[in-house]
Amino acid sequence: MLGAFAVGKTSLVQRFVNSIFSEKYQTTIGVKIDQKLVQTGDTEVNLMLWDIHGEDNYQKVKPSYIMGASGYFVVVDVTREETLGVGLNLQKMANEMSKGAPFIVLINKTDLPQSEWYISETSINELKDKGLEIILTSAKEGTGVEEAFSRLTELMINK
Amino acid sequence: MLKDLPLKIVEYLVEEIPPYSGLLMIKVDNRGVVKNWKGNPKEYLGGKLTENESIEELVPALNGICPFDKGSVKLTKLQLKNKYCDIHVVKENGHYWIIFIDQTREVDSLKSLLQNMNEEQLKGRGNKTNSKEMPFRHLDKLNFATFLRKDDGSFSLQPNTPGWIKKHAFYNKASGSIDPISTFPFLEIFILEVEEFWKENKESYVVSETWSETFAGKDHYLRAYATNLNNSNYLFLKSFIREGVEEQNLLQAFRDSSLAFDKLAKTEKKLKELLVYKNKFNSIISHDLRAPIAAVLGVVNVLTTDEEEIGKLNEDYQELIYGIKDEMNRLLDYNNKLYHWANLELGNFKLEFETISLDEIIKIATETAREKCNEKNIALTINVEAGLKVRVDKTLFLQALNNLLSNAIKFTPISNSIKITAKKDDDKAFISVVDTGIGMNDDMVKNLFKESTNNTTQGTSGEKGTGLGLGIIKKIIEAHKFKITVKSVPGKGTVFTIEIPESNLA
Ligand SMILES: Nc1nc2c(ncn2[C@@H]2O[C@H](COP(=O)(O)OP(=O)(O)OP(=O)(O)O)[C@@H](O)[C@H]2O)c(=O)[nH]1
Ligand SMILES: [Mg+2]
Repeated sequence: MLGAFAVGKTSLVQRFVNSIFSEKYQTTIGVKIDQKLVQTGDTEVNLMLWDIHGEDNYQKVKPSYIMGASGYFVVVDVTREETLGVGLNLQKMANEMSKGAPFIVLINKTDLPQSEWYISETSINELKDKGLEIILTSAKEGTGVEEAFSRLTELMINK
Repeated sequence: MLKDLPLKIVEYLVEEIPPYSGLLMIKVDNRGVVKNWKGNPKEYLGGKLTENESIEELVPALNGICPFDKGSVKLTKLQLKNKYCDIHVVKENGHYWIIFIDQTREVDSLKSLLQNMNEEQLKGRGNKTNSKEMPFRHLDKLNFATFLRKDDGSFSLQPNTPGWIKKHAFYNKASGSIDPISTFPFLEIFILEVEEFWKENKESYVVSETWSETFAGKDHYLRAYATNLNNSNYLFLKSFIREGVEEQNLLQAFRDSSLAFDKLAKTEKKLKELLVYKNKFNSIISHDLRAPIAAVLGVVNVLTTDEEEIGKLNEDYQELIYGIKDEMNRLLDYNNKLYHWANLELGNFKLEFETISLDEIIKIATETAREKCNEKNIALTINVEAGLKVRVDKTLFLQALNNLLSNAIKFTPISNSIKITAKKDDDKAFISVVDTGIGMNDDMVKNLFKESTNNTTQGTSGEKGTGLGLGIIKKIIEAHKFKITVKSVPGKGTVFTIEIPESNLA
């Protein structure tokens, strides 16, 4: 899970693994690793989910965390425009470190009213046109979460 | 405590200092003279701190280290009055921040460790061979689990295992061990770095980043360390509680406040957009209302000017029609003000400057006001210095003067007087409207130009107001880059003065 701070990386993992959501923001210290068994087709895959602390001026994501990744999510907060730039920068770094592992951009917190969206549909479509795979999610309501994880699993297996 | 610290210091706090249980920061100049501080000096230094005092006298340990410009300073586990501290000195923008990092807790736990070791030595149990076999056997007291790397690359947990690791589901009670790498997937990556380090066989150590694990229903924050001793490779795992990772709490505080700030900024932006929307709305509505109001007024005017026609109506109907006329006039006036107001707010008005004599423009304004003055039997005197010419937007400036005058009339009791003067003084021109009305107290004067329609006050003859008049005056005057001031004495009257700079005099 890569992205700026407070975009919802931990919340997405918790929604996926434990089906829970908390409104309280507790910033992730370092790294938290969770596991979940998923079924794709006839294959059972054990996903090791690395929930990495958010990136900002004070805390940079260590490239070595990504080295062994088979795939990754770039998480963006739809209500904070700047998180898109942070995410895309991390993606560049991740792309090098992981030697082109598959990834999906998650536009999170889409349960919040459209009036608070600062990443417009147009810019989302622009990203899609550039060939990025994008899924709108809400860790709070669970929207798109299962889909996101199974899609990434699929991409990783078929690679 | 943190929000007004310079960025460089904040970064330093987050990145460079060890886990701590408290901080004192003192800002000094390069001679060690105290400028200011954050935190509680008394807790650390045992006494009060005052500005301009010398830090060397307060903290003898810093003697000889000042001036600081020799380079960065880091002192460890220094005993101060009441605490053990690490002291770091950081240069920032010509000053120095001396950071006292409370390490009392760490030292206390080390103390008991040393105490134990010494006691064992005294009892003769701690002979050399023994300590060679188990060189780190007391580290469990600091929550370290010690692993020795065996030749086959696996790890064996050394005796004196700290409590936390025994609670892990993968801890094997029978063998008294646990495999660190498969238990903590985080180590899969750290171990790559460590293997390199072990190959070099250096006598230092490496530390991992922090990671977290939940087991036995508790959050554990872990760090791994690796070192070499006597040709053996050791791996340590230390468990912290979240509070033990104090620099991270700092991070939490920062992120929380950064999110809050974000929200505020967005709300502000939204409010501004709403305001613009409101003004556009007003502008459009008031513009479109003009025509129908004027049409009704036109009909009423026809009715009331034709005396023969209106004479045919009985008195009640006549009164009704005059009532409609008055109300329609008021509505038109209100609507005009609304229109001007909204457009001024939107910045839609481009001023069209022309040169005009003050005498003339004031004459036009007073003519409009004269009728209302007569109604209240108010004497209006004019005193304008001859030959003064100003560059103004005639329509707007006239509107401002009209508003000033009708305001004065509104608040002046029947049979009192109003004066309007204009004169040149010190290269500037001053236009004053002086009334002998009810006046205002300081509070009212202060709030006078605030954009609130709640501020409407009834006139001395019950005149109703829009609450927009003064706001419009201010907007117009500011658009001209002129100044307007108010002086008022309750019960005596009010003076509004417009100041026109030399650049707008011709
Ligand atoms: N409304 C809404 N809030 C969310 C959603 N996802 C996360 N949040 C909230 O956003 C805040 C941050 O969520 P986290 O999951 O801790 O974010 P993070 O990316 O792990 O943050 P760091 O660990 O600091 O990098 C929390 O207050 C969550 O409750 C979502 O889908 N909708
Ligand atoms: Mg997190």
